[in-house]
Amino acid sequence: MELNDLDFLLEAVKASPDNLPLRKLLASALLKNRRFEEAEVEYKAALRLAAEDLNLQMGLATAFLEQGKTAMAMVIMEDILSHDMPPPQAWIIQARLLLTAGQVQQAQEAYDNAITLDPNLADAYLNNEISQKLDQSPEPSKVRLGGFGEEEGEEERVLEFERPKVSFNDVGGMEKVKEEIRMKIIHPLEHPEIYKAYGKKIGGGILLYGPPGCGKTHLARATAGQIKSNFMAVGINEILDMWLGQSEKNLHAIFQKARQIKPCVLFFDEVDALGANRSDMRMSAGRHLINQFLNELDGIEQSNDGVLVLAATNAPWHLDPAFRRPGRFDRIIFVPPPDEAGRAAILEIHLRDKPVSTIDFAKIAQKTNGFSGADLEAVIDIAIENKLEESMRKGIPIPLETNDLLKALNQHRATTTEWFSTAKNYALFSNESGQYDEILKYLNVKK
Amino acid sequence: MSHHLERAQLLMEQRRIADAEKELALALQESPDNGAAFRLLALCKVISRNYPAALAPAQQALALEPEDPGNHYILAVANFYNNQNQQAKELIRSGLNLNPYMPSMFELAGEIAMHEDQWEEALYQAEKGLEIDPEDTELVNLRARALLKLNRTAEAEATMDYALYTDPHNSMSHANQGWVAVHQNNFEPAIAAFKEALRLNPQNGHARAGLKEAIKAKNPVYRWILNYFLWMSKLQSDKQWWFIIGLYFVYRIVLSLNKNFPALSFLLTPLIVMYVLFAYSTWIGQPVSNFFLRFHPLGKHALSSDENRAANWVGIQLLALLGVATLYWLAPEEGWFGWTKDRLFFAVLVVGTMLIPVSGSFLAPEGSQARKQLAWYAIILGFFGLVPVLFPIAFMLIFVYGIGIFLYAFVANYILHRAARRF
Repeated sequence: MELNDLDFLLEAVKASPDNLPLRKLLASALLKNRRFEEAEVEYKAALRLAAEDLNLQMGLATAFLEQGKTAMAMVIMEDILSHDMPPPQAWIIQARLLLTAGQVQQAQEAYDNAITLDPNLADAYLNNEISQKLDQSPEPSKVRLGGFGEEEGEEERVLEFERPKVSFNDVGGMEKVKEEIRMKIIHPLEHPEIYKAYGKKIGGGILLYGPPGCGKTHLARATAGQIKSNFMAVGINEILDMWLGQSEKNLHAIFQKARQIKPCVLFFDEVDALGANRSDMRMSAGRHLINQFLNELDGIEQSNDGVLVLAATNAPWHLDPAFRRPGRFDRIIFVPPPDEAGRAAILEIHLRDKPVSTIDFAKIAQKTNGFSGADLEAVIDIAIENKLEESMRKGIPIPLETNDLLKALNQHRATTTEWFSTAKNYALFSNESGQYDEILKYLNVKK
Repeated sequence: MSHHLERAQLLMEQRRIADAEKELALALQESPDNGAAFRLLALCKVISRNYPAALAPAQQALALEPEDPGNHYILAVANFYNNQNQQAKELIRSGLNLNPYMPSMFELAGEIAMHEDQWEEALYQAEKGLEIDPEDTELVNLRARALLKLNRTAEAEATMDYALYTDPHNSMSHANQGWVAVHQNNFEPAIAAFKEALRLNPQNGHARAGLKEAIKAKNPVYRWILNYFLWMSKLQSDKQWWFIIGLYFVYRIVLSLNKNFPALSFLLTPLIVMYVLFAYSTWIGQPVSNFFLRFHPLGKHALSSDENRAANWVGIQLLALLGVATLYWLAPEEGWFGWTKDRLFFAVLVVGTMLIPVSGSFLAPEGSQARKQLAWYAIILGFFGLVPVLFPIAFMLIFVYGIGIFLYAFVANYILHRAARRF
């Protein structure tokens, strides 16, 4: 609006001070022209005519907000938001208010509320500001999941996003897997322009599979740490509750949150529990959840740009084939048990702060073919338990020796063997598209 | 229903049995007299093949809710897998009194009948169940298996076609279709069916066993052995014994006839040779053919690690036999270094006959009591066989060996039959 028009409006209001629509027009015009003090006066005057008008109240609150009178604005907003159905715009104002007040977390929630009520209100600038502040704030963002169980009074579950401190340097071995993740996730984030030139979207899904206890979860966390992004692990318990509770809504909430605070890595552990083969599941409710998961991965309603979905499973064969389609989990990576160097590194890390004499890591690593990281941990545990007895008798902690570990080896068997015997069957007999060729290669089986 | 119970059910559907058991334990902490939780726990134990542990929770479930036919069913299942068929049958009866329309009850009754070699009874139960639910795939499969045993292969074939028509993605149905084809000696279609079964479920042992047999049966010699085994498996247990013993007596008669009427020997000698070869091949046929299967591109993957081990043992023995036999053939009458031709002959005999107890041990299920007993039998036999060959001073021991080998067929058959009845 031109300044002349504004002056004209001022004149008009003076001429007919009881004309409410005219006053409203003037007040919002003043606000738009950033003449906040005058706007405040005008809104007050208008409110004298119509005290219950929510739009006027919001206008006044905005005027206060812009002048830095947060306390006054807050009083008004509290009043507005206590209504049954506050207008969506009110949540935006509230978000800005909270942001200025430094309550970033609540600001984010208020903004989310606004967007949920009216997606047209999306304010990229505000959102950006909130997420930037959020990055600096030590408190992680959360997703509230509701509707678990039928018992009343059950607490709602909160899933937290975190910022992992580990990086690829903390992952021993697994160079090939790391390289794949670099290509798929890390390079696109570091050089988005190259990917954009080819019209390739950043983000997407990677499915990690392999025997239990071989570092799939650790690797996912390290990936998030490497790109300094938000990270959320959705475990089997959350997934199970999704089947039973308000499943689809919760899944949507998680993805929605991830899209807001991108870049973000979403990690689904034991994803076969969520994406079980649809023909296996007799529960009809299950299909909805699987379809919802597929929709979220596709990002039909909102783009998944910048959201990376990592998933891990011990039983990829139980996963619905639809998940393997391009754009979903299009990269399927086999995470084998650690190799010899990896095993030595794992042993070293686990024994770092324990009473040990010089230990021949290479020798133990050589004798633990097929052991997973968890297996090695178990071996150390057994060795320590055996040593404890002796230490108790002598009254001082006796350092662990290579021999103790070698002895403990006899008491623990590699847990990956069973997995591989199952996996081999799948790789041999149910491997039409060659998705399990890696297993055969690892087992050195020629078809 | 409690939260934990729902979760447990979900986990069981997703085949996470260990996790499901944990949830059930939590559910039982909440309400210690929940029959459904005990029932599911028993089912978990059965699925994870910990059969003895299934009994207690199943009994608990029935004690808590005796009016629920499902609890009668689960205890019957637990009894069956603990080799208590009589109790299982009574529970099926009491369960059917409560609800006469449970196809699963008829299926269990049919499985028990199959296990007791009562093929007619199994067929009857399967058809009773199918009256209630004609599309129950398990029952259709049971019916086909019973028909096969009754030698009604054409009907079995039609039954399997129907099963695959109603549910084309059932791995078990494809496996049974393959077995029907094996019984009809149509090995190529059988291999195709087994492959499909394994594609749908690579863990299907029934299909894997079929695949092995079908590949091996392409060899005419093995086909002969296989058809004998299939024919034997259709006989009831006691009839199998009568056949083995009867055949042995016929052999003794032929042997004495041969002695008394040398003129007939041109007719009788081939009969004797055939009997010996036949008896020999029934023992060593499996592992020897498995040894050759190890060179088949697809077949070698169908062998389990235990079968591989058996094949290796047999392979080594076959090589040893070949070596000793060559020496015997090449050796001059006075022999080499004290190894006379006679001594070499006994060496050939011992190495050749030792194939029987070694193969026989591997016929018993891995880790079973029977395996241990047979392995010890084989080790002791080996001792009595090798000592007289290596040290001519102890030559008399060879007679102990001879008696041992002769008795082996009967003792091992008895042990193996008993073991096959147990889970």
